[in-house]
Amino acid sequence: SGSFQCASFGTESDARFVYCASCISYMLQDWRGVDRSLATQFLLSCQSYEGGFGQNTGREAHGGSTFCSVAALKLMGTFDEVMCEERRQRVLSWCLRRQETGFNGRPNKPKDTCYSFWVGSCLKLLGGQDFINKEGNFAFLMTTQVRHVVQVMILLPS
Amino acid sequence: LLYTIKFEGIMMYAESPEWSDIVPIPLPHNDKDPVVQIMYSDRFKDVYSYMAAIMEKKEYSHRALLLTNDAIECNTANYTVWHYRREILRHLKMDLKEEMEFSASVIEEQPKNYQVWHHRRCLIEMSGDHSLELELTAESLSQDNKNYHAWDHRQWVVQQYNVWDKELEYVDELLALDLRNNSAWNHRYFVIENSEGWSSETVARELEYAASFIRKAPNNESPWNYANGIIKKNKLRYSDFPKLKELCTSLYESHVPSNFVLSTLADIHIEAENKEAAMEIFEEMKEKDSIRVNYWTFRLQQLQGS
Repeated sequence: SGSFQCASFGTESDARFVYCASCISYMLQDWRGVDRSLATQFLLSCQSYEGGFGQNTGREAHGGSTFCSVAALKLMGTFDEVMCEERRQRVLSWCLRRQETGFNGRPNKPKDTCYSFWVGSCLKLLGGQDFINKEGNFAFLMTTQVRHVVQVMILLPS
Repeated sequence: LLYTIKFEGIMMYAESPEWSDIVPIPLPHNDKDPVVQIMYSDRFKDVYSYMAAIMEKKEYSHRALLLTNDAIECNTANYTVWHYRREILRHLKMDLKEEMEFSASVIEEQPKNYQVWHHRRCLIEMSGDHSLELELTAESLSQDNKNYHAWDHRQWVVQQYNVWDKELEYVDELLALDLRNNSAWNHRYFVIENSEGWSSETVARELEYAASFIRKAPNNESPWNYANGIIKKNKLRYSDFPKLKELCTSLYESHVPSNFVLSTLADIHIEAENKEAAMEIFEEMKEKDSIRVNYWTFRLQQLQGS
């Protein structure tokens, strides 16, 4: 199908592992373990009607899988060839809509710091980093930082 | 007796006469001097030292099955153990009914665990019995109506076994409870795509369906993504579906604050090659959707330059 599992004995398969396989192959500069053409077609089939990418064909577009798909296509070197302007605009605008102050991973879901990475990085890969409201994102991230020293007491059995 | 009985004190495998024939393989398994040493509990070390020994020995017995119960409890994400458990079930030729109950109970406790959902999928593939899955996923979704694993499983079942007939009704129910449930909207698209398909009648019907929800909450992204997505994914033209433009125009003229009204109108104008009208909207969006001011500025410049 073009997708990847994470172990040889059989596990679930989805975009996360296509990304992992792409990272490994890229680092090793050895693509013998990846059928890039098939993997590319699989990832394209994951772009939903929303413009973002789900973990599998037909699945809901999600910030994490959108990053995995875009990043994998870039690593495989097939992004420019298969992501026509229309597809690129659709994923770009879906990603931009994830931002409120921080980013959410799906429409009508709460924001989460991890999506500042997944969606933020994806936007950088798409060349859309200047469309991010950096102040809003930074302000949100700062609200999540624990700035006080936490005192912990451990009770040991006597 | 498939499941372990919990005593007040936990039975250590190292002290169990039933396991005296096994030489445990102590944790850590691979490295004498790990860089980052995980602080395993005594219980964890006990269970996994026996699990490692059993797997090394390739023992596929009833006691090994019970051991995997404990190993799964200690680390539900250990996919090697789950795989080994499936091998045991296969070797023992076990009836999978109790195993289905076991997987359902783990799903109930840890609904976001990847391995248990995959395990359940394997069980269904082994037995062919998918009769409980719509109810299982509905139950899971009643507790978290956007659980990605539950939706994934439901979509797999529905597509693999061709059981589409209840799905649109299910979406209706979920949207009645929460019209902002984006997962339900996605499911609707998936169901129609794979069952009746996007005939022009279906497109018109579904655009009206989206419109009915847009009227209830014009700033809800989900039905807008749905409507615009149908048009774009099927390479249709807004001009063939004038009711959508009418909806946008009427909402716009009523000054309903919705960036989706604006952006959809802009796309409609661009398709109609009405550059001036689209540019006016992008100008307005720079203020109304100020988080994305740089993007609307870019869209405006794109049109100015073209």
